[in-house]
Amino acid sequence: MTGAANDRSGGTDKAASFPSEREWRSLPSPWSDELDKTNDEAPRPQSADAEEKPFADRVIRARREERAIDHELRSLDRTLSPEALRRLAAPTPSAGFAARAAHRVDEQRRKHWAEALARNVAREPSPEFVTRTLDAIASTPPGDSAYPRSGRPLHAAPRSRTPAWGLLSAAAAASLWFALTDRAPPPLELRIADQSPAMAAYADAPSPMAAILAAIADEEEPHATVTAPADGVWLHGEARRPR
Amino acid sequence: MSEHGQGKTPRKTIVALFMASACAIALPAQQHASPVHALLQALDERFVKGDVAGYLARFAPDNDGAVAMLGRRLERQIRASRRRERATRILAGPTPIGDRALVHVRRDISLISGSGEVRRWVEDSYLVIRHDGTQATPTMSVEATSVTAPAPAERLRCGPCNYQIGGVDSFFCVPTRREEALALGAASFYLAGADVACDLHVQLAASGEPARAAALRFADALARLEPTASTGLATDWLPPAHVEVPPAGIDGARVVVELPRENAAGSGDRAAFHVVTYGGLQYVMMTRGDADALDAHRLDLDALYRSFELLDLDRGPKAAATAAIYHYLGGRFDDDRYENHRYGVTFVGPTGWEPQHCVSGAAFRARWSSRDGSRVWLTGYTPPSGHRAWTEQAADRWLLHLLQDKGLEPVEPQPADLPSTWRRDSAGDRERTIVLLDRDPDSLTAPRRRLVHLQLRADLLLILDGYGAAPSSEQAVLTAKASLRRAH
Repeated sequence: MTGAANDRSGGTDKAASFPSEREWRSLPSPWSDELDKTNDEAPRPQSADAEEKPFADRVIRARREERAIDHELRSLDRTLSPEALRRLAAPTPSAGFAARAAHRVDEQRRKHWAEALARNVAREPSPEFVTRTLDAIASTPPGDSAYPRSGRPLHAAPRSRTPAWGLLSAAAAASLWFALTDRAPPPLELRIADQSPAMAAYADAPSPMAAILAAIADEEEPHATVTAPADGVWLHGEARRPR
Repeated sequence: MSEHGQGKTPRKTIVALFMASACAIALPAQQHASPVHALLQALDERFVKGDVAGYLARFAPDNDGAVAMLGRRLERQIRASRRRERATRILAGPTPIGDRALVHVRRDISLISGSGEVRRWVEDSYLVIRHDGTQATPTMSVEATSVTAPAPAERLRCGPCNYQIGGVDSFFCVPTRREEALALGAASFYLAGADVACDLHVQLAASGEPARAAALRFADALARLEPTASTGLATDWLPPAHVEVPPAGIDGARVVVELPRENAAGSGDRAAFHVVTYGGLQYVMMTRGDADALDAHRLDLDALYRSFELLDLDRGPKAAATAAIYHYLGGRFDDDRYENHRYGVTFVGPTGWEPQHCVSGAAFRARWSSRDGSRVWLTGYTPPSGHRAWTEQAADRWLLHLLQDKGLEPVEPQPADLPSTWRRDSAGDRERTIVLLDRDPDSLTAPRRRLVHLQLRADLLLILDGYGAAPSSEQAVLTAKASLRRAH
């Protein structure tokens, strides 16, 4: 049963097998009417290859077309001499053109990502399902709950302890590792500093605030060649490296 | 016994008594100082040997982050040298602070490369120690700026930036070097004996940005660096000193970020951003540390927040910022013209573009933006720590990495009318101009072509970096470049 079927049945109370990963990937995107339509009307492909093919084909075709356009544009660049280009005065963009264009690009990217991600995330339960679940919880008399705070039924058979033991063993091994090697998890300051460029003077700053300010500056001025001063130790170390 | 001898005996006694009393007076200080001297010597020896693990093993950390960052700094210094020398001397202390003692030390460091090149550093640090009987155990060490600062337990007062803070029991103040702070001014307040710290950074306030939005901007930036972070809601917050009678134009906000990833204490960390904007300046306090320790020391932190106070409450919307910029960075705008009196730099930006001061950790930085998205940045960098002067080699080394990092490559061949290799300009300064292309021709947002101009004198490296979104803007960048002057 697919997620769409779950929605149509009004919830997850019916015995239904959870969709496989491949089935999830073939789910229609909730934001794309076109895709929904295609999926509803077209017969569902049977084999894995057949299932992947239309999407893969579309992507490959789109990439091919994009490359062809890029190729044409580059050859056009070579054909036009710099002198010819210089004679062409670029029109003055209208006020807010850059902002509008950047916004449009962002919107398109967001939409495409949302569509792509929607194929890989579980759907939300239907409103009917949520209502019935809440009603069921509300109708249970206090103190008569079959489910304690742990969430496991009191009368249910005890769960296998294997995963718990596995987790406990892993935790014990980690503790032993830290105890024997005297290694603690890296502190926040170090984790943040490790993401800083080694050549930046703030890379060893005791406070993570500089790395936060640098991250903001990079976002606000993504095209500045240099945003932070050079680190003296790094520059000295670079002098030792053969050129 | 001779007369002479008889005469000597009382004199000897007097001398002996004098020495004994002098020793008695000096003894308490020595009892503290001797173990500290021994500790400093032992740490210097470990550094010279390149034994970072042994160095850090002497510490019983109060603040794991500070000790980890010390280890990172030591490792980088050791990796960057074949041999090392270091001598540490006490500038002040040990001074009792809480149940710890604070020692202000100065370290003379020499890093010697395989070719014999020597770089000399002077590093000031605050060392927190715990006295265990006759032994001194370090619990924290934080690097500070070498610029004269008030005693660490005293109140930090900055007239140009219009604020004061500190002077609170158990907190000590460590002023931060500007290139490590990326701010007009910055200082960290550490609570002795606990994993609790508060960093204060003074920035230029973004025009019209509410404090709540600014607080969330900081929290979001932290969350991008630390993916497990969980950002709370931004709420209004004003420094307690200004709650009753808020000065006109003040705005403040607070946001808490939970960092649930397990730390050495077995719990998670927490960070809280307190943002105050006034007079064109933005005061950002980032409180950080172990979540349990922050809860346990809430009253101490409240006392620190209460100590924050704006000094002049009659400043105009941008008055504080203008004064602070002029004091710390030395620059001001007169229409398109930028003048920096401290470094003798003058530059006329492209006509009609919007000029703006920036704070970046550099000696100064200014930016011009056009409506079509073109930009010019003019930045001055003093020699990096350990370098007495800028050299062409050092500037090139840095530039090479910057270009690689940004995906830029020089145009081949470079335009004949620009000095792509180092040459002396008419004023005798060395200069170099490079036209660069973005390596990714398909990039949607990055400028395809740009110009980087370097002007070098021993005390300052000037970098003019710009691009034009249209040919006319590109020409404006070139014209502006020609106006860059530095007085002798």
